[in-house]
Amino acid sequence: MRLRTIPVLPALLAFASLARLAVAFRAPTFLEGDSQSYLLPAWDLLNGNGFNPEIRRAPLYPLFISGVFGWLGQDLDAVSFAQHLLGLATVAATYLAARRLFGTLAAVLAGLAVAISGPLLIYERYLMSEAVFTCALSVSLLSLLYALCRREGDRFRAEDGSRSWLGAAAFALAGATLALAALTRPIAQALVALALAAILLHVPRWRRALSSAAFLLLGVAVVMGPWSLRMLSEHGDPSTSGGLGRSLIARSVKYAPEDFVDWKWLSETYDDRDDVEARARMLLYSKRRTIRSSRSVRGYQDAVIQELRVSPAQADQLMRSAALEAIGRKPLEYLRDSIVFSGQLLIGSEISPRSEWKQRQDKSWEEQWPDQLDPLVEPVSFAQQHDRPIAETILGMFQPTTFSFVLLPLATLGAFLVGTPSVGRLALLPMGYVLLLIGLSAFLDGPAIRYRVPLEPALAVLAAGGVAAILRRLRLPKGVGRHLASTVEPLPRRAS
Amino acid sequence: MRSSGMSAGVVMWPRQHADLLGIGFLTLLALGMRAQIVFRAPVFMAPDSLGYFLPAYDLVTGQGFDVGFRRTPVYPLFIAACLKLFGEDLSAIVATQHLLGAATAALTYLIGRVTVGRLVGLVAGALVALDGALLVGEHYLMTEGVFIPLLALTLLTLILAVSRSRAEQGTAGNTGRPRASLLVGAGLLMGLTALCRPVAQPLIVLAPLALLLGGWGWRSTIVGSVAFGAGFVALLAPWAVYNAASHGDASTTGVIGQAMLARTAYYDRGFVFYDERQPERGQDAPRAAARRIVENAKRDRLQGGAIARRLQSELDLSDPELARLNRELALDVILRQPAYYLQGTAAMTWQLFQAEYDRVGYDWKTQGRRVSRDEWPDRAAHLLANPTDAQNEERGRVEAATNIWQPAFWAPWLPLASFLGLTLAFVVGGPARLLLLPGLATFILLLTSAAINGPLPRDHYPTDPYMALAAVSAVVLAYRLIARRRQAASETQPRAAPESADAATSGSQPSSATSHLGQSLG
Repeated sequence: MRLRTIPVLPALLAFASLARLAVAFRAPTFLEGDSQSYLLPAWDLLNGNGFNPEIRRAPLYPLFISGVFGWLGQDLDAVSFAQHLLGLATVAATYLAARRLFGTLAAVLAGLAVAISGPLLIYERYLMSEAVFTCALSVSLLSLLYALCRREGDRFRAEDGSRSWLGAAAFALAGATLALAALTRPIAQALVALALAAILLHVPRWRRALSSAAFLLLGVAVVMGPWSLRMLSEHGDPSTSGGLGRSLIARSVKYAPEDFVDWKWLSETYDDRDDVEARARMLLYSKRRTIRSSRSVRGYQDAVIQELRVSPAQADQLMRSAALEAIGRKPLEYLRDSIVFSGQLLIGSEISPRSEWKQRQDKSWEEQWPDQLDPLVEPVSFAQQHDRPIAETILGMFQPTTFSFVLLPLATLGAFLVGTPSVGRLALLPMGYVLLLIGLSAFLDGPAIRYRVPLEPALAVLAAGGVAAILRRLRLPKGVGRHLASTVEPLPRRAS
Repeated sequence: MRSSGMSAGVVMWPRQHADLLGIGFLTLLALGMRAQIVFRAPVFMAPDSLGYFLPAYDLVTGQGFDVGFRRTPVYPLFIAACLKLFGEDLSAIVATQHLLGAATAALTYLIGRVTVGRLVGLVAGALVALDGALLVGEHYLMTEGVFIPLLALTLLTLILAVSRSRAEQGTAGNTGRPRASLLVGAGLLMGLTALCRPVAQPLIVLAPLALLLGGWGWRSTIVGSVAFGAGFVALLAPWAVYNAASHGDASTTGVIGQAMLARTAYYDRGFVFYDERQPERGQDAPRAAARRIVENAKRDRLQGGAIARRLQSELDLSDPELARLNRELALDVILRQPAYYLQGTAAMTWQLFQAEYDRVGYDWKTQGRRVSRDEWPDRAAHLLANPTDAQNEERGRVEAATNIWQPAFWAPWLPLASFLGLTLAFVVGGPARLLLLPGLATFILLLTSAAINGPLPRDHYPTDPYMALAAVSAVVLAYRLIARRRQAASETQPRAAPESADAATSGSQPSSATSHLGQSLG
């Protein structure tokens, strides 16, 4: 029986479901200090106090939490459960994307890798945006691939000259899903540019390329437009998140080498000045060691807001200015360090469920969070404690970064050497996702290992493609080769 | 034409995959309803919940598997599987039961689809998806969560086994054979169902009835029944042997004695167990001490389980001895007052048919009651908890979800409509006649429950899907019969000379709207 004739996707989803069900009731919902910045606006929205996420937070994840609370109940485990469902959608999107590019066997391999990926499972249990972002990225990649792959002769016009609405809808959908990713984490806004580039490079005739791009942008505008308008009216800035300044401070002070910022020059230049910009820089100077040793830049941001009596948007602007100044003084070092950080992110490191569990259990979240959130944080139960070894085993059973030395070369192979005519350069699209987002994370924030997690599906697709490329070139026995050929070759595109 | 070709494909796909869409819609609807309760409500507990949970917990923790004489093994094994797969969390068990509940909605659709038609399956499936009583039943740590989907699967398999293909329907005589493999499978499933709740054992009579309803001859009926029976016995026999070896009694229905005691001493207080003024029931009559205990317990309004425990402790009986004594005591009073018993059974059966409104408020505190009564042994007590503040705050939402629809809201019209539907199914014939199978199953289950156990409200839950099917079928089949008769009447009338082609067409055929509606109802 050929692989294609087996109901592969349902079997894959059943397998992924089992893995998730095995931890759904055994592990607690993991929490980070930043979790409350998503939880509080969601709780406020549900309880009629309006919707006011922090300026650095994009709105989709708090809205997701609010929706889950409204539908399933005010229970953090309900959020984890819903994120596991999104995880299944991620598995499906990965499978379909890999099948479109490289064939069924690659799709199965990629789907399996995502189904049991320890970091993905762990972050589906985290009250952080990774699970939603991963799903949104995977779905946007899939929709973009399908929109581009539909290209066969006349995209928008049939033989009788009438318009084909499906082609336009595909690009609009791709744009909408990209916008959803951007509304989860603003860094995904850069993918719009990538998508436009892909359209212009892949769609041969410039008029059709332009109309495809226009529909993509329409999809983006419809989804992102309302939030951008709200940001413009409230903060004078239409960007979906005002957190760039804080990120750049993290990049230039927390993650960069200690001597990256010329502190001597800074203190000598700004010590005598009394303007807001100078005071912000002197505050940065006084808190430089605290920023390096703490988990986030929050302390500095709060100090800027309180001591300088500025709004969050103004504080972010001040931080952005200070960071850009430091970067501007050492551009080559900045570039060098960013490339190193990119490499670190690409290679990755193990995400241990043990440390996440310990943090969840040992920290007293009730003391740190607003009182209204206290009822939501239940202690880790006796049964969860009892089952902790099993949960940790499942959550840690497959760590892709352990095999980076194999997976990255395979991914490169998959992206550049696939060589099948029907797929062509489209295999570069997932590689574009990976390099762009990792690069931007490294340049604009730092090598926080969780930034790699949402890109695991794209890497899995590419690595599986690399396996497919190798198998295609091997001299296999006839029967095996014929069987693999039927599973390795991508699906034929639709006839015109 | 690429554009119209693609558009036509988009339009045709739903028509070609109507069943898939129907099942998908019902599953999503059922899951959406169950999502309202699974995280919001504490797990509900009945007094019997511990008797199912503890053997499962002991099995998982390596302390053996002993369900005792009263219980059957399927539900404890299900709990053990959940504990093993998903961890020590009662919520995982009820969440799995809710998933099975969603499957029940899909199975209801399929039963309706195979017998009467898609519309019946869709509407009945939607009623099952929305049924608040089933939502509550699935949230209990009790056998309903597994029994209901098992029964639905069994009935569907039996219906498929005896259904004739379209080619077979068109030929005269008994061509073809019922599907033997499906009959054996149905027998196995029925055995599994009976090992979940012994009240399903009388349903074994459905096999020959199904074959007869399916239009098969006597020979096929006998052979098919044997195949079904083989599957049934294949599962029940080992358990009977196990009971014989462990408890000295091969019965697979050890619970019946206590149930009958509840029927005659708790749900119906008109039976006399002990009366000093009557020699056959006085001090000198057999088992006087036991009868006196039961009469006093009846006066104290103790439930069946409490009466049985009192008997066991005061007379120092083993489980099989207690079961035997319960049965004998109950049968004794029934045989002395047979008319009263039959009258009471009929009334209780009708009471069960009408169902009872399930109030979440009563169920809500059941787990907390188990905590406060210290009923659970220490090794499993850590799994119990009172409802959290967040759950108590959202109780209204759970109540609203369970109050969207319950069969009791439409009593007595729902059971009356279901009777009508079954009658029409018999009259219409063809595949619709197989709807009588779930109808008969409903009747047998409720009658058996009323006769042996009493009008326990949750005994109605397993029959909700089939009452919905039969009731909806009443509307559809009535329409079909009327349409059929109109068509027959118009065909027998002499035709006038047509003045135009339109006049000839409009006089002899039903209107397009009617025929279209008829097609959709068919």
